[in-house]
Amino acid sequence: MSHDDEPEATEEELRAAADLARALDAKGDPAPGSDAAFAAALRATRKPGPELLAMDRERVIDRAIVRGSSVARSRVRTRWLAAAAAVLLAASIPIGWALSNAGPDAPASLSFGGPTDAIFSAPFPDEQRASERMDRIASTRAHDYFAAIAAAGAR
Amino acid sequence: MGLGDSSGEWDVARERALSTRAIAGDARALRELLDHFARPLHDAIILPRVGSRADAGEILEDTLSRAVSLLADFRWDEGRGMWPWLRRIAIHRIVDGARRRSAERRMNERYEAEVAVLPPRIEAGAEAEMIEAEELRSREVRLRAALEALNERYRRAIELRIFEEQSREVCADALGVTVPTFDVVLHRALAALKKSFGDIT
Repeated sequence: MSHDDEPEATEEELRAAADLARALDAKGDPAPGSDAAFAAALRATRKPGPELLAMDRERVIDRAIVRGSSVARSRVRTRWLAAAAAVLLAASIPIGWALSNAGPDAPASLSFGGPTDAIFSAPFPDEQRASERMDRIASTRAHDYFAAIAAAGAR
Repeated sequence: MGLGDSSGEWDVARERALSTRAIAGDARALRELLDHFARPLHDAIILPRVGSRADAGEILEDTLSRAVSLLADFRWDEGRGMWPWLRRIAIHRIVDGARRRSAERRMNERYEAEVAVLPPRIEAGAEAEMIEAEELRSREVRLRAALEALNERYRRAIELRIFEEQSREVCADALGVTVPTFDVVLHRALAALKKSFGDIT
């Protein structure tokens, strides 16, 4: 190629040049994104033809209206849902605040951090609360047990 | 009014009234608007940027469909009407299509270069033929400047093969090179033109 005073072409250039030559000779619709498509785009700039008249314009518009309207409806639905969610969220804030500030009538915590022995001397409040008392004993015993293991390990 | 029928002049008042009615849900007004703008969108904006007719048809449908779905957000542009809004949607659709095909990281830069080009001033209520002619004239001016910036051999290769649609043999003979060399020259010429003219194919 150097004999035509054009710099030597790479393999890739030779391949692309041959593809372009073939596509231009074929005169068909070029592959999107190809050099031939760029060439056709240049032609369409300088020599516009009645391209759209050859297409089924009515069909394109019909399909666009159906697709676009469907997306528009779903956008409206999404906006309504988002608005409803915002209203629910706004309503839940004062409810949550009221619950977290319920005062002395709020249920007492079942956790217990002190030594276990004191629990056994506590009287049973009534029969319905027996299981609550058992839970407290089990939880505190477990706490003591793990504390004893930890202490043995440290020794 | 049927498609392609042009009962009455197209002017600002009509374009504005149709857009208001279309936004309010009038299907006939919507169809009339789309029909008015479909051809300049296809012939002057999409096809001169993508080249492939099949691709251009799909992008036109995407553009119109997107416009329908966003119609509620459209705000009338005093003086310029609906065209700049539709034109912008079409350019976005073209770039989206190119981005799907291309793994090239420079795609955003190519898009920025495309939107940085000042579009021609087209008044609201312009006839479709006028929009098309103005858009193509503006693009042709840019193309001519980009061709002028190429070296003589590259410019001649593009003129002969792309615009005059001469055979490879005639082109090679005119440039005084072999046919395979001409193929490479044309490939390089287009690559050089893409850099200066811009390419979002």
